[in-house]
Amino acid sequence: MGRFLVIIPAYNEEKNIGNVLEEILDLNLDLDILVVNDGSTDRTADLAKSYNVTVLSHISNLGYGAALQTGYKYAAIKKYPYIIQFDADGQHDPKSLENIYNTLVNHELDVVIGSRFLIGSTMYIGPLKRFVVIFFRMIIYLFTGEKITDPTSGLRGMNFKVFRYFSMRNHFPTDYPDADLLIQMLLNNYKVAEVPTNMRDRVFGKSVQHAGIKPFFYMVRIMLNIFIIVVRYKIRVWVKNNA
Amino acid sequence: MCGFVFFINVIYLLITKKLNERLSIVWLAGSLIIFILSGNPELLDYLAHYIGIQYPPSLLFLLSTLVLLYLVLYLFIQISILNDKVKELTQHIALYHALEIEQDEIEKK
Repeated sequence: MGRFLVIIPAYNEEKNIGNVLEEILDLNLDLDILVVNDGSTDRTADLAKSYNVTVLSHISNLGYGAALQTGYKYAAIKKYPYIIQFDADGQHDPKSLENIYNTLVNHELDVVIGSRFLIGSTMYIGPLKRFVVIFFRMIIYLFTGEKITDPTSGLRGMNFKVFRYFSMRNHFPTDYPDADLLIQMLLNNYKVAEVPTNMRDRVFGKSVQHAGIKPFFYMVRIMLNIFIIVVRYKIRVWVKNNA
Repeated sequence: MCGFVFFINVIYLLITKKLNERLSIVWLAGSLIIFILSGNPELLDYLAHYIGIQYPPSLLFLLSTLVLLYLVLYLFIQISILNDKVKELTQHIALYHALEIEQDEIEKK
């Protein structure tokens, strides 16, 4: 068993998954890789199986969050001490993995986020995406008082305590686990930090989450999730104080 | 007549197992209310007068709209529950399958 597990949720990524896996395996790090094939209709699962990695397949498409949660469940069963979630579209730089792992271990942190805003990333960020990022930075600061530079980053490392909690039923948002999840982590008093990472433009295809009018629905859904999380937290605090 | 046909239809769906018992109670109760109201229209007049509604049929429309709204909400709740169950089931199958393969490989070695 490797020092940590890299969880890669993949949905119809046959053009990217091979390169992503090769890049990670070429680094020869002491890690295990889990590809969660989220009901892909292309050859994603077959391609992933041709590498020395574990492949889990959902029989139907459940969404990014649910695929991640399946990865957490697997890691919890196998008792990995740390996991790092990694995108299958080639946007994340595998060289960041070691840095995230070291930061998690050396600083005894619960969560480490790879941020593209702490150094000059080579990724092009459009005005809409920039607006979404700034908006959620403000929301996170408003509710938790913490400054997170990259609330939409999917590159995150967690320790056992955190991913086991999120692997449980109803503890994890199944559609978009972004700013809402960060707020939940911070309200749960998890120690969260960011490390600078380079992110690149995706090589093939278009991102499912950030195309067309979807950003608008994305923001509305995340705001609703944040509202629910904050209300639940306030109720919990109120019950605790009045018990 | 309408209530009677509706009632028979629900019973038929129950016998042919196209509707489960738990959900059918709502429809059986609904058909019973239609049955009672259509047989005793003065009941509706009395109720409307008691609440202060001048035109009794509008009470009927109000009640039916509220009941239908509640039914839609109930079905949305059921969809959410089923979605969650499908998610859990799909995740369980994926995990179980992968762990079984891993176990087989260990045994082969």
